[in-house]
Amino acid sequence: MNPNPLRTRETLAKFHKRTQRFWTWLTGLTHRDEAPRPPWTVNQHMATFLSVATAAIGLAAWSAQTLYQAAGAALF
Amino acid sequence: MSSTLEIFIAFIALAASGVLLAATKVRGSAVLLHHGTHGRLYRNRSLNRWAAEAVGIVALAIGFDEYRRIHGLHHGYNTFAQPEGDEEAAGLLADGLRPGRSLQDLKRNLLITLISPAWHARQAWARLKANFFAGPPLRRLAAWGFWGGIGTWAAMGGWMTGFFGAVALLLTAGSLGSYLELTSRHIWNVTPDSQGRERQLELSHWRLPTPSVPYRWTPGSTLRFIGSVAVKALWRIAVTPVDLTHHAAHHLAWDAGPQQDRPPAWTDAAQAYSDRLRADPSLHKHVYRSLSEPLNASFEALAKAPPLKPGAAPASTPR
Repeated sequence: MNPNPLRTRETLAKFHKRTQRFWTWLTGLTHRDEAPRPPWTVNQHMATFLSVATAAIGLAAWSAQTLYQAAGAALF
Repeated sequence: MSSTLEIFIAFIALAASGVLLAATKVRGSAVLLHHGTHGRLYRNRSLNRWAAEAVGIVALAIGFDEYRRIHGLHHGYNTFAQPEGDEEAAGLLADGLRPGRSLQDLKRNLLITLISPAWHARQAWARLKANFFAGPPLRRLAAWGFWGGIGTWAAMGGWMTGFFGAVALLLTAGSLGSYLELTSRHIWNVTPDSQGRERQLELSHWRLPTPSVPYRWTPGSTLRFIGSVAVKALWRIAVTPVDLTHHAAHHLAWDAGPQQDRPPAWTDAAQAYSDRLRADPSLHKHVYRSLSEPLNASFEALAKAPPLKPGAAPASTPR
Protein backbone atom coordinates (compact mmCIF):
# COMPACT_ATOMS: atom_id res chain seq x y z
CA MET A 1 0.00 0.00 0.00
CA ASN A 2 1.23 3.50 -0.74
CA PRO A 3 2.46 5.65 2.13
CA ASN A 4 -0.17 8.08 3.26
CA PRO A 5 0.35 11.25 1.19
CA LEU A 6 -1.11 13.42 3.94
CA ARG A 7 1.61 12.21 6.28
CA THR A 8 4.17 12.97 3.59
CA ARG A 9 2.70 16.44 3.18
CA GLU A 10 2.89 17.07 6.92
CA THR A 11 6.57 16.07 6.80
CA LEU A 12 7.16 18.53 3.95
CA ALA A 13 5.40 21.18 6.05
CA LYS A 14 8.43 21.17 8.34
CA PHE A 15 10.52 22.82 5.61
CA HIS A 16 10.80 26.60 5.44
CA LYS A 17 7.48 28.42 5.11
CA ARG A 18 8.56 30.07 1.84
CA THR A 19 8.79 26.64 0.22
CA GLN A 20 5.25 25.63 1.17
CA ARG A 21 3.59 26.93 -1.96
CA PHE A 22 5.96 24.77 -4.00
CA TRP A 23 5.13 21.62 -1.99
CA THR A 24 1.43 22.34 -2.28
CA TRP A 25 1.76 22.76 -6.04
CA LEU A 26 3.85 19.60 -6.38
CA THR A 27 1.76 17.27 -4.24
CA GLY A 28 -1.63 18.87 -4.84
CA LEU A 29 -2.20 18.85 -1.09
CA THR A 30 -2.34 21.61 1.46
CA HIS A 31 -0.83 20.91 4.86
CA ARG A 32 -2.88 20.90 8.03
CA ASP A 33 -2.43 24.60 8.89
CA GLU A 34 -2.48 25.95 5.35
CA ALA A 35 -5.50 27.78 4.05
CA PRO A 36 -6.95 26.38 0.80
CA ARG A 37 -5.77 28.32 -2.20
CA PRO A 38 -8.43 30.15 -4.18
CA PRO A 39 -8.95 28.62 -7.62
CA TRP A 40 -7.40 30.50 -10.49
CA THR A 41 -9.63 32.51 -12.76
CA VAL A 42 -9.81 31.70 -16.45
CA ASN A 43 -7.81 34.86 -17.18
CA GLN A 44 -5.05 33.72 -14.85
CA HIS A 45 -4.93 30.38 -16.66
CA MET A 46 -4.81 32.17 -20.02
CA ALA A 47 -2.07 34.57 -18.88
CA THR A 48 0.02 31.68 -17.54
CA PHE A 49 -0.43 29.74 -20.76
CA LEU A 50 0.70 32.69 -22.88
CA SER A 51 3.66 33.45 -20.60
CA VAL A 52 4.86 29.84 -20.62
CA ALA A 53 4.36 29.56 -24.39
CA THR A 54 6.27 32.79 -25.06
CA ALA A 55 9.15 31.84 -22.76
CA ALA A 56 9.30 28.31 -24.17
CA ILE A 57 9.28 29.37 -27.84
CA GLY A 58 11.89 32.09 -27.19
CA LEU A 59 14.17 29.76 -25.24
CA ALA A 60 13.81 26.98 -27.81
CA ALA A 61 14.56 29.36 -30.68
CA TRP A 62 17.67 30.75 -28.99
CA SER A 63 19.04 27.34 -28.02
CA ALA A 64 18.32 25.77 -31.43
CA GLN A 65 19.97 28.70 -33.22
CA THR A 66 23.00 28.65 -30.93
CA LEU A 67 23.50 24.89 -31.26
CA TYR A 68 23.05 25.01 -35.04
CA GLN A 69 25.63 27.77 -35.38
CA ALA A 70 28.03 25.93 -33.08
CA ALA A 71 27.61 22.73 -35.10
CA GLY A 72 28.17 24.66 -38.34
CA ALA A 73 31.32 26.28 -36.96
CA ALA A 74 32.66 22.93 -35.76
CA LEU A 75 31.99 21.16 -39.07
CA PHE A 76 33.06 23.83 -41.52
CA MET B 1 32.10 31.17 -32.56
CA SER B 2 30.16 30.00 -29.55
CA SER B 3 32.07 29.28 -26.39
CA THR B 4 31.87 25.90 -24.68
CA LEU B 5 29.92 27.49 -21.85
CA GLU B 6 27.41 28.96 -24.28
CA ILE B 7 26.91 25.56 -25.93
CA PHE B 8 26.44 23.93 -22.54
CA ILE B 9 23.87 26.57 -21.57
CA ALA B 10 22.15 26.10 -24.93
CA PHE B 11 21.76 22.35 -24.28
CA ILE B 12 20.27 23.02 -20.85
CA ALA B 13 17.97 25.66 -22.38
CA LEU B 14 16.90 23.24 -25.10
CA ALA B 15 15.94 20.62 -22.51
CA ALA B 16 14.12 23.21 -20.37
CA SER B 17 12.27 24.60 -23.37
CA GLY B 18 11.24 21.03 -24.34
CA VAL B 19 9.58 20.63 -20.93
CA LEU B 20 7.91 24.04 -21.22
CA LEU B 21 6.71 23.33 -24.77
CA ALA B 22 5.22 20.03 -23.60
CA ALA B 23 3.47 22.04 -20.88
CA THR B 24 2.27 24.52 -23.52
CA LYS B 25 0.69 21.74 -25.56
CA VAL B 26 -0.86 19.91 -22.60
CA ARG B 27 -2.09 23.08 -20.90
CA GLY B 28 -3.31 24.40 -24.24
CA SER B 29 -5.23 21.40 -25.51
CA ALA B 30 -6.02 19.15 -22.54
CA VAL B 31 -6.96 22.04 -20.24
CA LEU B 32 -7.92 25.29 -21.98
CA LEU B 33 -9.17 24.01 -25.34
CA HIS B 34 -10.85 21.15 -23.47
CA HIS B 35 -12.76 23.48 -21.16
CA GLY B 36 -13.47 25.76 -24.11
CA THR B 37 -15.25 22.94 -25.93
CA HIS B 38 -17.38 22.49 -22.80
CA GLY B 39 -18.21 26.22 -23.01
CA ARG B 40 -16.48 26.85 -19.69
CA LEU B 41 -13.88 29.51 -20.51
CA TYR B 42 -16.15 32.55 -20.90
CA ARG B 43 -19.90 33.01 -20.75
CA ASN B 44 -19.89 34.86 -24.08
CA ARG B 45 -19.98 32.03 -26.64
CA SER B 46 -17.98 33.86 -29.33
CA LEU B 47 -15.32 34.92 -26.86
CA ASN B 48 -15.24 31.40 -25.44
CA ARG B 49 -14.76 29.88 -28.87
CA TRP B 50 -12.12 32.32 -30.08
CA ALA B 51 -10.13 32.15 -26.86
CA ALA B 52 -10.08 28.36 -27.19
CA GLU B 53 -9.18 28.57 -30.90
CA ALA B 54 -6.36 31.03 -30.15
CA VAL B 55 -4.94 28.71 -27.51
CA GLY B 56 -5.21 25.80 -29.97
CA ILE B 57 -3.32 27.77 -32.62
CA VAL B 58 -0.49 28.70 -30.24
CA ALA B 59 -0.21 25.09 -29.01
CA LEU B 60 -0.61 23.69 -32.56
CA ALA B 61 -3.48 21.53 -31.32
CA ILE B 62 -6.50 20.35 -33.29
CA GLY B 63 -9.36 22.75 -33.95
CA PHE B 64 -12.31 23.54 -31.70
CA ASP B 65 -14.94 21.75 -33.82
CA GLU B 66 -12.93 18.55 -34.15
CA TYR B 67 -12.02 18.52 -30.48
CA ARG B 68 -15.65 19.04 -29.50
CA ARG B 69 -16.79 16.23 -31.79
CA ILE B 70 -14.25 13.74 -30.47
CA HIS B 71 -14.61 14.83 -26.88
CA GLY B 72 -18.41 14.71 -27.05
CA LEU B 73 -18.18 11.08 -28.10
CA HIS B 74 -15.68 10.45 -25.32
CA HIS B 75 -18.09 11.87 -22.73
CA GLY B 76 -21.11 10.30 -24.32
CA TYR B 77 -20.23 6.68 -23.64
CA ASN B 78 -21.72 5.22 -20.50
CA THR B 79 -19.14 2.51 -20.35
CA PHE B 80 -15.95 4.39 -20.39
CA ALA B 81 -13.77 4.72 -23.49
CA GLN B 82 -15.45 2.25 -25.81
CA PRO B 83 -13.28 1.75 -28.87
CA GLU B 84 -16.33 1.52 -31.12
CA GLY B 85 -17.02 5.21 -30.74
CA ASP B 86 -14.50 6.86 -28.50
CA GLU B 87 -11.70 8.15 -30.68
CA GLU B 88 -9.64 9.12 -27.65
CA ALA B 89 -9.39 5.41 -26.86
CA ALA B 90 -9.13 4.48 -30.52
CA GLY B 91 -5.94 6.51 -30.88
CA LEU B 92 -4.30 4.36 -28.23
CA LEU B 93 -5.70 1.18 -29.75
CA ALA B 94 -4.35 2.13 -33.15
CA ASP B 95 -0.93 2.56 -31.55
CA GLY B 96 -1.05 -1.00 -30.22
CA LEU B 97 -2.30 -0.40 -26.65
CA ARG B 98 -4.88 -3.14 -27.04
CA PRO B 99 -6.70 -5.24 -24.46
CA GLY B 100 -5.41 -8.73 -23.90
CA ARG B 101 -1.73 -7.98 -24.47
CA SER B 102 0.70 -8.71 -21.66
CA LEU B 103 1.80 -5.94 -19.31
CA GLN B 104 5.34 -6.16 -20.61
CA ASP B 105 4.14 -5.94 -24.21
CA LEU B 106 2.08 -2.86 -23.44
CA LYS B 107 4.98 -1.09 -21.72
CA ARG B 108 7.32 -1.96 -24.58
CA ASN B 109 4.71 -0.74 -27.01
CA LEU B 110 4.42 2.61 -25.23
CA LEU B 111 8.18 3.11 -25.25
CA ILE B 112 8.52 2.19 -28.91
CA THR B 113 5.64 4.51 -29.81
CA LEU B 114 7.16 7.46 -27.98
CA ILE B 115 10.58 7.12 -29.62
CA SER B 116 9.30 6.19 -33.07
CA PRO B 117 10.17 8.82 -35.72
CA ALA B 118 7.23 7.60 -37.84
CA TRP B 119 4.79 8.15 -34.96
CA HIS B 120 6.19 11.64 -34.32
CA ALA B 121 5.98 12.44 -38.04
CA ARG B 122 2.32 11.31 -38.17
CA GLN B 123 1.44 13.33 -35.08
CA ALA B 124 3.28 16.40 -36.35
CA TRP B 125 1.67 16.24 -39.77
CA ALA B 126 -1.79 15.79 -38.27
CA ARG B 127 -1.29 18.83 -36.04
CA LEU B 128 0.10 20.97 -38.84
CA LYS B 129 -2.71 19.90 -41.19
CA ALA B 130 -5.35 20.65 -38.54
CA ASN B 131 -4.00 24.18 -38.16
CA PHE B 132 -2.97 25.21 -41.66
CA PHE B 133 -4.96 23.09 -44.10
CA ALA B 134 -8.21 22.18 -42.36
CA GLY B 135 -10.96 23.74 -40.30
CA PRO B 136 -12.91 26.97 -40.76
CA PRO B 137 -11.23 29.50 -43.12
CA LEU B 138 -11.02 32.19 -40.43
CA ARG B 139 -9.18 29.84 -38.08
CA ARG B 140 -6.81 28.79 -40.87
CA LEU B 141 -6.17 32.46 -41.61
CA ALA B 142 -5.47 33.13 -37.92
CA ALA B 143 -3.05 30.18 -37.79
CA TRP B 144 -1.21 31.35 -40.91
CA GLY B 145 -1.19 34.92 -39.57
CA PHE B 146 0.18 33.98 -36.15
CA TRP B 147 2.85 31.47 -37.17
CA GLY B 148 3.55 33.23 -40.47
CA GLY B 149 4.03 36.51 -38.60
CA ILE B 150 6.48 34.99 -36.14
CA GLY B 151 8.27 33.25 -39.01
CA THR B 152 8.57 36.48 -41.00
CA TRP B 153 9.85 38.32 -37.94
CA ALA B 154 12.37 35.52 -37.34
CA ALA B 155 13.49 35.59 -40.99
CA MET B 156 14.07 39.34 -40.85
CA GLY B 157 16.32 38.89 -37.80
CA GLY B 158 18.17 35.90 -39.24
CA TRP B 159 16.51 33.51 -36.77
CA MET B 160 14.91 31.04 -39.16
CA THR B 161 16.87 28.08 -37.79
CA GLY B 162 15.78 28.96 -34.29
CA PHE B 163 12.17 29.37 -35.45
CA PHE B 164 12.03 25.97 -37.16
CA GLY B 165 13.83 24.40 -34.19
CA ALA B 166 11.23 25.81 -31.80
CA VAL B 167 8.33 24.60 -33.97
CA ALA B 168 9.89 21.13 -34.29
CA LEU B 169 10.36 20.97 -30.52
CA LEU B 170 6.78 22.14 -29.92
CA LEU B 171 5.54 19.35 -32.17
CA THR B 172 7.79 16.66 -30.68
CA ALA B 173 7.73 17.52 -26.98
CA GLY B 174 4.07 18.49 -27.22
CA SER B 175 3.10 15.11 -28.66
CA LEU B 176 5.12 13.33 -25.95
CA GLY B 177 3.52 15.33 -23.14
CA SER B 178 0.01 14.91 -24.54
CA TYR B 179 0.41 11.18 -25.05
CA LEU B 180 1.67 10.60 -21.52
CA GLU B 181 -1.09 12.84 -20.22
CA LEU B 182 -3.69 10.91 -22.18
CA THR B 183 -2.32 7.51 -21.19
CA SER B 184 -2.17 8.28 -17.49
CA ARG B 185 -5.31 10.41 -17.26
CA HIS B 186 -7.76 7.56 -17.37
CA ILE B 187 -7.65 3.98 -16.42
CA TRP B 188 -8.41 2.87 -19.94
CA ASN B 189 -11.27 0.53 -19.44
CA VAL B 190 -11.87 -0.27 -23.04
CA THR B 191 -14.01 -3.36 -22.89
CA PRO B 192 -17.64 -2.89 -23.90
CA ASP B 193 -18.86 -4.58 -20.70
CA SER B 194 -16.85 -2.35 -18.37
CA GLN B 195 -18.44 -1.21 -15.14
CA GLY B 196 -19.02 2.43 -15.99
CA ARG B 197 -18.01 5.78 -14.59
CA GLU B 198 -18.08 4.89 -10.91
CA ARG B 199 -15.42 2.28 -11.54
CA GLN B 200 -13.45 4.85 -13.49
CA LEU B 201 -13.77 7.35 -10.66
CA GLU B 202 -12.71 4.80 -8.10
CA LEU B 203 -9.61 3.93 -10.07
CA SER B 204 -8.41 7.38 -10.95
CA HIS B 205 -9.09 9.44 -7.86
CA TRP B 206 -5.74 11.02 -7.77
CA ARG B 207 -2.70 10.96 -9.94
CA LEU B 208 -0.20 13.47 -8.68
CA PRO B 209 2.86 11.53 -7.61
CA THR B 210 4.06 12.28 -4.10
CA PRO B 211 7.81 12.69 -3.57
CA SER B 212 9.55 10.03 -1.54
CA VAL B 213 10.31 11.61 1.81
CA PRO B 214 12.90 9.56 3.74
CA TYR B 215 12.30 8.38 7.30
CA ARG B 216 15.92 9.19 8.17
CA TRP B 217 17.83 12.03 6.56
CA THR B 218 21.24 10.76 5.49
CA PRO B 219 23.34 12.12 2.60
CA GLY B 220 22.15 9.24 0.39
CA SER B 221 18.47 9.56 1.26
CA THR B 222 18.67 13.36 0.85
CA LEU B 223 20.09 12.94 -2.66
CA ARG B 224 17.31 10.45 -3.51
CA PHE B 225 14.74 12.91 -2.17
CA ILE B 226 16.15 15.76 -4.30
CA GLY B 227 16.12 13.52 -7.37
CA SER B 228 12.56 12.42 -6.67
CA VAL B 229 11.40 16.04 -6.27
CA ALA B 230 13.17 17.09 -9.50
CA VAL B 231 11.67 14.28 -11.61
CA LYS B 232 8.19 14.76 -10.19
CA ALA B 233 8.36 18.52 -10.67
CA LEU B 234 9.23 17.96 -14.35
CA TRP B 235 6.28 15.56 -14.68
CA ARG B 236 4.02 18.04 -12.90
CA ILE B 237 5.04 20.81 -15.33
CA ALA B 238 4.99 18.83 -18.56
CA VAL B 239 2.29 16.19 -18.10
CA THR B 240 -0.11 17.25 -15.34
CA PRO B 241 -0.05 21.04 -15.51
CA VAL B 242 -3.38 22.05 -14.03
CA ASP B 243 -6.66 20.58 -13.07
CA LEU B 244 -6.84 17.19 -14.66
CA THR B 245 -5.66 15.58 -11.48
CA HIS B 246 -9.32 15.29 -10.82
CA HIS B 247 -10.38 14.36 -14.29
CA ALA B 248 -12.79 11.71 -13.10
CA ALA B 249 -14.67 14.34 -11.08
CA HIS B 250 -14.94 16.34 -14.28
CA HIS B 251 -16.57 13.35 -16.00
CA LEU B 252 -19.08 12.87 -13.21
CA ALA B 253 -19.80 16.61 -13.02
CA TRP B 254 -20.39 16.69 -16.76
CA ASP B 255 -22.74 13.71 -16.47
CA ALA B 256 -24.71 15.63 -13.86
CA GLY B 257 -25.30 18.38 -16.43
CA PRO B 258 -23.13 20.98 -18.13
CA GLN B 259 -24.03 23.67 -15.62
CA GLN B 260 -22.54 21.56 -12.85
CA ASP B 261 -19.21 21.46 -14.59
CA ARG B 262 -17.82 24.51 -12.81
CA PRO B 263 -16.13 25.11 -10.44
CA PRO B 264 -15.01 21.59 -9.36
CA ALA B 265 -13.49 20.68 -12.71
CA TRP B 266 -11.73 24.02 -12.88
CA THR B 267 -10.14 24.04 -9.49
CA ASP B 268 -6.53 23.20 -9.21
CA ALA B 269 -6.19 20.14 -7.06
CA ALA B 270 -4.89 21.66 -3.88
CA GLN B 271 -7.79 23.72 -2.63
CA ALA B 272 -10.37 21.22 -1.61
CA TYR B 273 -9.02 17.75 -1.79
CA SER B 274 -6.72 17.76 1.22
CA ASP B 275 -9.83 18.02 3.37
CA ARG B 276 -11.50 15.28 1.38
CA LEU B 277 -8.54 12.99 1.85
CA ARG B 278 -8.42 13.80 5.56
CA ALA B 279 -12.09 12.91 5.84
CA ASP B 280 -11.58 9.58 4.11
CA PRO B 281 -8.11 8.14 4.81
CA SER B 282 -8.81 5.11 2.61
CA LEU B 283 -8.58 7.38 -0.43
CA HIS B 284 -4.84 7.48 -0.08
CA LYS B 285 -4.74 4.02 -1.62
CA HIS B 286 -5.51 5.76 -4.89
CA VAL B 287 -2.69 8.27 -4.58
CA TYR B 288 0.20 7.47 -6.83
CA ARG B 289 3.66 7.48 -5.42
CA SER B 290 5.63 6.46 -8.46
CA LEU B 291 5.41 8.08 -11.88
CA SER B 292 4.90 4.71 -13.48
CA GLU B 293 1.91 3.79 -11.28
CA PRO B 294 -0.76 5.60 -13.31
CA LEU B 295 0.58 3.95 -16.47
CA ASN B 296 0.88 0.57 -14.78
CA ALA B 297 -2.67 0.84 -13.48
CA SER B 298 -3.95 1.55 -17.00
CA PHE B 299 -1.93 -1.25 -18.51
CA GLU B 300 -2.87 -3.79 -15.84
CA ALA B 301 -6.55 -3.11 -16.53
CA LEU B 302 -5.87 -3.37 -20.25
CA ALA B 303 -3.90 -6.62 -19.94
CA LYS B 304 -6.72 -8.29 -17.98
CA ALA B 305 -9.34 -7.32 -20.56
CA PRO B 306 -10.31 -9.82 -23.29
CA PRO B 307 -8.90 -9.11 -26.76
CA LEU B 308 -11.04 -7.00 -29.07
CA LYS B 309 -12.78 -8.45 -32.07
CA PRO B 310 -10.96 -7.66 -35.33
CA GLY B 311 -12.03 -4.33 -36.82
CA ALA B 312 -13.57 -3.04 -33.57
CA ALA B 313 -11.51 0.13 -33.41
CA PRO B 314 -12.33 3.14 -35.63
CA ALA B 315 -9.72 5.38 -37.20
CA SER B 316 -8.00 7.60 -34.67
CA THR B 317 -7.52 11.34 -34.67
CA PRO B 318 -4.28 12.67 -33.13
CA ARG B 319 -4.80 15.26 -30.42
